[in-house]
Parts: sequence; structure tokens; C-alpha cells
Amino acid sequence: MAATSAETFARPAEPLEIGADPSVRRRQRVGAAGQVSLFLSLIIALVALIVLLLDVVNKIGGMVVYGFKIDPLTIVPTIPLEELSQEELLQIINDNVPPERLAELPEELGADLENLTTDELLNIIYAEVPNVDTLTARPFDVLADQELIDILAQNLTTTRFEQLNAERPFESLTRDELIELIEQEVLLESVVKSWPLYPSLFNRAAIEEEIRINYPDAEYGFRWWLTPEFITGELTSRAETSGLRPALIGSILLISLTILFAVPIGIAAGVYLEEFAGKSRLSALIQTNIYNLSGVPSIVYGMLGVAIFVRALSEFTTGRAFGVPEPLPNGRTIISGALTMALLILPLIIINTQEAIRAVPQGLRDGSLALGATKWQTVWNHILPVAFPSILTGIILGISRAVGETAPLIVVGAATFVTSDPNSLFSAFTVLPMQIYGWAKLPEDTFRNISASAIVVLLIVVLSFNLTAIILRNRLRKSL
Amino acid sequence: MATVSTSLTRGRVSLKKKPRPFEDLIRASLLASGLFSILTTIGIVVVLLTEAVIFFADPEVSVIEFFTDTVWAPESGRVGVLPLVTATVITSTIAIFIALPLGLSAAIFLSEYATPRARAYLKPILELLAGVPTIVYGFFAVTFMTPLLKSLLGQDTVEFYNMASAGLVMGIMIVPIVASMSEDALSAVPRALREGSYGLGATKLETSFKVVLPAAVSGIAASVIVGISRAFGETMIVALAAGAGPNFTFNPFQAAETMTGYIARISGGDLSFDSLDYTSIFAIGLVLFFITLALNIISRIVVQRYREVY
Repeated sequence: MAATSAETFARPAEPLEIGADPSVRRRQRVGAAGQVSLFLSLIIALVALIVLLLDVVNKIGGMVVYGFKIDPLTIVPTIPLEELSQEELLQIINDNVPPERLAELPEELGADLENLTTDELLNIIYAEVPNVDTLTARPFDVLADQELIDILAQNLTTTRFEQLNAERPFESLTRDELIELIEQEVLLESVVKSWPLYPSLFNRAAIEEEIRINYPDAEYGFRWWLTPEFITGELTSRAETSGLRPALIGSILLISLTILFAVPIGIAAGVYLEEFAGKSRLSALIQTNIYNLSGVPSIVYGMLGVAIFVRALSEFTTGRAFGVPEPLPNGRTIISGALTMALLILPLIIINTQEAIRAVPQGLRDGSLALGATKWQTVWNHILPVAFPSILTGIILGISRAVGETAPLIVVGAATFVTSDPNSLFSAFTVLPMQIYGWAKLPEDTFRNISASAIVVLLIVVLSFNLTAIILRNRLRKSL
Repeated sequence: MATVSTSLTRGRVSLKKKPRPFEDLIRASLLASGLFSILTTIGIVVVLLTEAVIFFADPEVSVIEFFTDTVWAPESGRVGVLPLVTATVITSTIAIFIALPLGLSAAIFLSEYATPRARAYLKPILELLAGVPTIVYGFFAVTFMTPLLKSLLGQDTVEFYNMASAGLVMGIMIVPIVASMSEDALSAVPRALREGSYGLGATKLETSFKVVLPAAVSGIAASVIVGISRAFGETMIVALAAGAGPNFTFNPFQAAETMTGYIARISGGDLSFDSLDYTSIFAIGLVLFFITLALNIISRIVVQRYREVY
């Protein structure tokens, strides 16, 4: 009946209570819980990475207790016991013989200690007191400068003595500086125990208390492991004195060579694939090939490098073919490493170049060609300049990847201990991540400290490269 | 000779294509650069194959033993690759167990829930974290994760070198990769699908999991496969944290050496170029190469075949 339906139509419907249906409420609750847990998972991932960074930073400084690897008493001149007076000998006996024994001695010998001759006192000392040789050691404070220099001469190798003398002549050093030199070079002052950074900063009093109890006479203090001396220092076998310089120089040289090889070839291949290649089977094959190469584990590139550059081409990579003096016995040189890393980042650069060129507006190409330019003229004068910032982003990402890669260089043969800075294409080398790896494998705690310091340096380099690339990319996306 | 004579020109214009030698030279060198990448692949395959053939030609080594024996000790003549493979698989499995839920959840949050401003900050942070060198993760595994596991599960259950530490940290390392690729896949799903779902009364969670996720499943599957492939090829974390001796075990708290860890260890020592050790790393490298190649090809096929086209 028309009237009824019209009525139904005209009458406003009952207001719908949102959420009245219990199943809706339940689903909304589940939805809210789901949202929270999704957010939490993002937070967990970020927190894990923050914990990682904090843990690394925790090791770059802290309270340390110093000790000497060599007992100072063994290197200082001693006064022969025979030259001591009777009072002094008595003093020695009273200081060093246990009280029970001191009580027994007069009975055994039939006389009080004060009445014995110096010879008899000497006999007692030799019999009862251990470490006779070091008893009368004269502490550093009373020694004359020349005697300190003599200690250095006796305990250092001749070369080291002359080297130090050449750097800073001993005659010109003050007494304190001489003592410090002895502590560094002869006694091998080292860190006996170290504490992490956060307890050292926030709970210093408790640590100092612990030091007072466990290491009563030792020197202690707060020590930063990540210092300018560390960054510019030479590599040594002791953590306290070791530095990053060979590794940094190696990394810089390696990256420079890698860019030299990878960038021209990478950009050229990218340009070819995007501009000059048709849709032929060959170009499809090259494209697939590049994608596959970008997924190959980096250590496989290392194996390629060792077989081809280190072994097969060793004439060239050692420099023998170029008449280099004192070539290494095998091709484990910087140039082998650089060529291997170049192969590693080549697919990255090619793919990035392709994407960059693809983003250039077609109108630019068409306009240039319409004006009579050749394909290459178009590419060189119009497309590449426009695409260059994007290509640069790809190069920066490639650099940051190459700086942090360790595995291929382990296989190619970067050393973990080089004695001198690399100075030519054909020298042995080490790089920053290799150094971190080498130190992290060693058992002593102090090597963990310098490994962590080196990691901070590496992270600063890598993350600043990545940040630059990301900012560049975001700016470009906005402007396009 | 085709020529044209017009009133504008005094002479005749040749319509033959002007030879441009420089252009041809450039074209040839660009082609050469393109072919260079093929050279790289050929180089990898040739190098791995030739050395692996030398390895298998050695009288002590039999191919069957290589793939079935559970002890790797070349000095005593046992050359079974299974201990190395199981260690690789176990660490990678642990890694993906961590990375898949975390990465996928992060991706869903970023693409469905986060405001555009939040996404503009969080996505670059994720990309930044993907650039952390793996040696740093290795250090973290040894100095933080292993003591943590030891204190949680007992000093005796967890050895100093163990696969679980390495696997967990590898998982953290892979999260940015999985999250980034999955987020790209999820963002590519057209809005209309989401709007339709909301219009039918679904909550955001239901829409995300029942409408958007299935639409993007090919990209997500690809990201997982790429993540697994990365985990298989990872060296530094396992070299530092998992152990330096091949060990056929399924207990993740024991030490074991993966394929990559073995290659790194042997290469790091004094290596004579003709020894069995040297050729063995190429045989193992060949296995690794084929596995990761297969995974990458599978990931591409999955994307092509199962991608929903809108």
C-alpha cells in the first residue's frame, strides 16, 4: 500500500547506536590492542638498535686500575746488603721476618739480635727473608736523572733507546718525564681492570671503594679509550698504546681506489642499459644478471677476488710487472682489495644510475633530440646533469657499504696486524672493520675497549654517509 | 647518392647518415661496461667451479660423502658439509623468526597507522639502521647478547660461542630489510581496497590483515626470501659469535660454524694456494652461491607470479 510505504519512507529512522552491537565493540577492542602491539614491535626493533649503540658506547671509557707488567723492583739499582749499617740490617730483619720467627731467633742463636755482628745479621737475612735482591731497591724518587737514563739503557733494545732519544733527547727531559717514560716503555704500564662507562660516570664512588679494597696501592683513574691519540696512533700489540692510523689510511686508500674503478664503469653500464640498449634479449640478460649479482653474499666476491686478483693476476697486483721495489710475495695488496670491493658495489651503482636516469622527464630527451643532438650529446649534456644528484646518492650508499664490509677483505687477505702505514698501491693493508674484527677476537678486556672505540669511529663515518644520502634523496623527491 | 636541392641551400645536402666515430666509440664502451657485469658473473661461476672441481678431484674427497657426512675434518679425511649447512640453516631460521614478526609489524604500522609526518621520520631511520656494518652486530652479539643469554638461561646451558646469539642478532640486522621491502609492498596496494573495507565496517586491524596484507603478500614473501638470503650469506656475526669449529648439532646454544664462518676462518689463516683447505672453501662457496642464487630467483618468481595487478 503506497501510503504506508511513503509513511515509512518519510519517517526518520531510529538513531543507530554506534557500538551497540557487542561484536563491534569486541572487534574495536581487538583493533586497538592490535594497533598497540604493532607500534610496540616497531619500538622493540628501534630499542634493540639503541641498546646496541649504547652497549658499544659503554666501552669507550671508564674507570681503570693501572698496574705494571714488569715489577719495578726488578729494574732499579739496589744497594748491596753488605754496605748497610747494623741498624739498617736490624731494621730489615724486624720489617721482614714474621713475628713468631723473630721471637724464636734469639733462642736459636743464643744472643739478642742487637748484639750480633753484621755478618751474622746478614746470614739471618739471607736465610729468613725472601726476595733479598729487591729489598734494598732504591725507589725512583731518590735516583738521579742519569741513573734513570741508565735504567732505560739497560732495559730497552738499542734501537728503541735510540729512537726515543732521537724523538726527545733524554737529557732534556725532567725527572718526572723520565719516570713516566720508564713506566710506559720498560714497566709496560697496563690496565689491570676496567669498568664500563655508565657505572664509571654515575657510580664512581662505589667503584673507587672497590679499588681501594682490591687494589690498595695501585694507580687508578678515569680513562677515555676513544682519544685523538687513539685515532692517530700506530698499531701496537698492546691495547693501551694501540691506534687506528694504519687502518684509517688503509680504508681511505681502499675507498678512493674502489670509487675510481666502480663509478665510471657503473655509470656507463647504467647509461647503456637505460638509454642505448633496446629491449633485446641481451639487455634483459644483463639486467637479470645485475639483480642476481646484487644478491650474492659479499664473501663470494672475496673468493672471486682472491682467485683472480690475488692469484691469477698477481704479477700486476703485486706490482712486479711495474717494477715496484720489494713486492709482496703474493697479491694481497690494496689494489686487489680495491678491485674486489669495486666488483661488490658495481651492481648497486648500476641499479641506482638506472633509477636516476629513469626519473629524468622524457620531454628533456625529446627536446634535445628534436634540436638535432645525437644520443650521446643528449645524455652527456642533458640527462646526466639532471640525474647526477640521484646518481651521487647511489655512489654515497655504495661507499658506505664498502667502508663497512669485512668479509670479502678477510678472504682477499687484509692483514690484522700491519707494522707500517700502507704507502703505495702495492702494499699490504688493513682496513677499519678488519681492525675491529682482529681486536674483538682477542681475549683481553682492554681489546674490547679499543674495538668499541674503533666501532664508534666506523659508525660515525658510515652513518654520516648514509644520512647524507637519505637527505639528498628526500630533497630530490620533493623537488621532482 | 640521395641528395636534395632546395631554394634555401646553395649546394646539395646529403641525406646519408653522417658517420660519427666518436658516437660509435662511446656506444661501444658503454656496451662494454654493460657486458662487464656478465663478466663478473662468469668470473664467479668459473672460479668457484674450477677450484671446486680440484677439490672433488682429490682422492680423499667423494661427492656423496660431501653431501651426506656429518663431520667436517679435512685433516682426518672427513669432508661432510652437513655440519656447516645445518649451522647456517639454524642461525638463519632463528634470524627470520625474529625478523619476520618484527619487520612485518613495523611495516604494517608504518604503512597503515603512522601519520605521514611520522612515516617521514621513521622510514629514513629504518633505512639508516640498515646501513650499520655487520661487524658492529657481531661485536654486539659477543659482548652483550651472549652474556644476556647466559644470565637468562644459565651459565651452563649456553656456551660462550653459540648459534642462538648469532641468530638473534642477525634477526635484528635483517628487520630493516624486511620492514622496508614489506612497507613498499603494502604502500603499493591501492587505497580503494582499504576504503572499500572500511566502508563495509571493518576495523583498521581487520583491514590491514585481511585485505591489505593478502594483496601485498607477494612483495612480503619476496622480502622474507631476500632476508633469508642475506642471513645465509652473513659472515661477520657468525664468525665472531657462533663459533670456530664445525659441529653437527641442532642445539642452538652450542657452538657451531656456518659455511661463511668456515670460509672466513680458513682464509684468515696461513693458506697455501694448493692445499685441500684452499680448494675446500671454494666448494663450500659454490654451495652457498647456488643456494642464495636459487633464493633470489625464487623471490623474483614469487613477485612476478603472485603480484596482484591493479
